[in-house]
Amino acid sequence: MTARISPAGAERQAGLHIIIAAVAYLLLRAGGQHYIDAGATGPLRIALAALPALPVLWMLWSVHRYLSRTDELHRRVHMEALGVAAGVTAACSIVYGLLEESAGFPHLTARWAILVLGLSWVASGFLLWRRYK
Amino acid sequence: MKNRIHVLRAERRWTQAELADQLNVSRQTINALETEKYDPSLQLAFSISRLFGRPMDEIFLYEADEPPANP
Repeated sequence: MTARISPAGAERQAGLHIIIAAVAYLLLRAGGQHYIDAGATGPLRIALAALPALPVLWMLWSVHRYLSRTDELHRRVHMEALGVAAGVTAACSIVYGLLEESAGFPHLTARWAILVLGLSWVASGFLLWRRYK
Repeated sequence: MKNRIHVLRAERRWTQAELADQLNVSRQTINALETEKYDPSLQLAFSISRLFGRPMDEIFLYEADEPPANP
């Protein structure tokens, strides 16, 4: 059963969860890489490499829970912002992919797309909120 | 869509935060409703109507040639 929570409370809780997940990701990534560099092999190496995905999954679940708990206007703005962010991420991926393949730009891992998605979601959410103020 | 939420709230001397709390929405949502920048869902409109004890057509006024606040 989901406890009743105000939209403001849900926003604070989701913000806190996202910060904790980001810190956990950085710690697991740095710690895991340290042991991988020290010579971890086999299943341990795979587990250490995949471990940072856990806080990211938790972050996604927190965002989902926030969207299901917040009020209709916040949900509307966030979903519109997510649509804009998906478009920005797709455009950046296509443009950078072409530059990487044909113009010698350095190779970037696919994880950068998540960062672009997150930042453009926050930025477009901020801009879309101005419509209702 | 025009509405009388601000008037009805003022009559009861409620703050936006108090009204938001009773409707389980955020204060920003109440502000967007009162400034007519956002049209509520049918479910929220019913909740507002029930809370103020007035029929919906006394609270919300739809003018046919007016563009919706949230198309």
